[in-house]
Amino acid sequence: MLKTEQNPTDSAAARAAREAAQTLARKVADSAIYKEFEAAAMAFREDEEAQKRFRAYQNAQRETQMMQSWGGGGGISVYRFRRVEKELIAHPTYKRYMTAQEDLLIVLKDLNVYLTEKLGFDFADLTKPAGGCC
Amino acid sequence: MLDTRLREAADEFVRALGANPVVAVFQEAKASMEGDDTLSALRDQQPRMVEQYRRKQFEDALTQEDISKLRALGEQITHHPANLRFVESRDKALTMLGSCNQAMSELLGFDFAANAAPAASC
Repeated sequence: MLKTEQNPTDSAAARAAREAAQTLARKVADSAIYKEFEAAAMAFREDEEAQKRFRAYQNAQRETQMMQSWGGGGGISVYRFRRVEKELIAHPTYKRYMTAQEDLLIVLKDLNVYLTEKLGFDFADLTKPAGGCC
Repeated sequence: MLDTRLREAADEFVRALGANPVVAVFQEAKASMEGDDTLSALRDQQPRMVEQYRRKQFEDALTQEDISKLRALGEQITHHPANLRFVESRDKALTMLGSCNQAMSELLGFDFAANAAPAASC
């Protein structure tokens, strides 16, 4: 009889690992830091003034990059970009969202450091989507 | 610092991964690759040889022998049994580990690994 190699994601052990992964993710989702992140993200999405400032920031960023790639007019657009950026950062809803995101990132990175120590390999670094550098 | 509930769930995840033969083989292959003295010596040699290669290239003193030596060293590392075993086991484990990351990411609403990984160095 021919022996067939089992799909590594199909075995009982693989299913148990995926269930444990889901349980771990649920614990993250149940944490106060994740809940604050979700609430802050929702508040940011629904705040018209914050969204307006965010769009202005994105436009100024695009414009500055374009001007710089053409090799001229950088001064004025960089000045405008800095002003728009300052206005965005000062907005309380955006500030709350950024703080919540940073707090959540700290938890995620701490969790990965813990997993890395126990597993002997960097779980997140190994499984993150491939992307360009810089 | 992780809270107790998160640490317990992380421990359970680590146990479940360790019980998976594909991941266990990868862990073992990684440890034996890192503990291989011959391979470590070859790896230590590589940056020094690359530096020497660049210096000679800059001085316009690079010889065919220098090129061949560096290439041979790279091949020795690539084809070292401990390295081959590591790469093969890592590729097999990746499918399994990737599916765990996917399971976590679907629940969280963002890619767990992309956000939890250390910052990339270029």
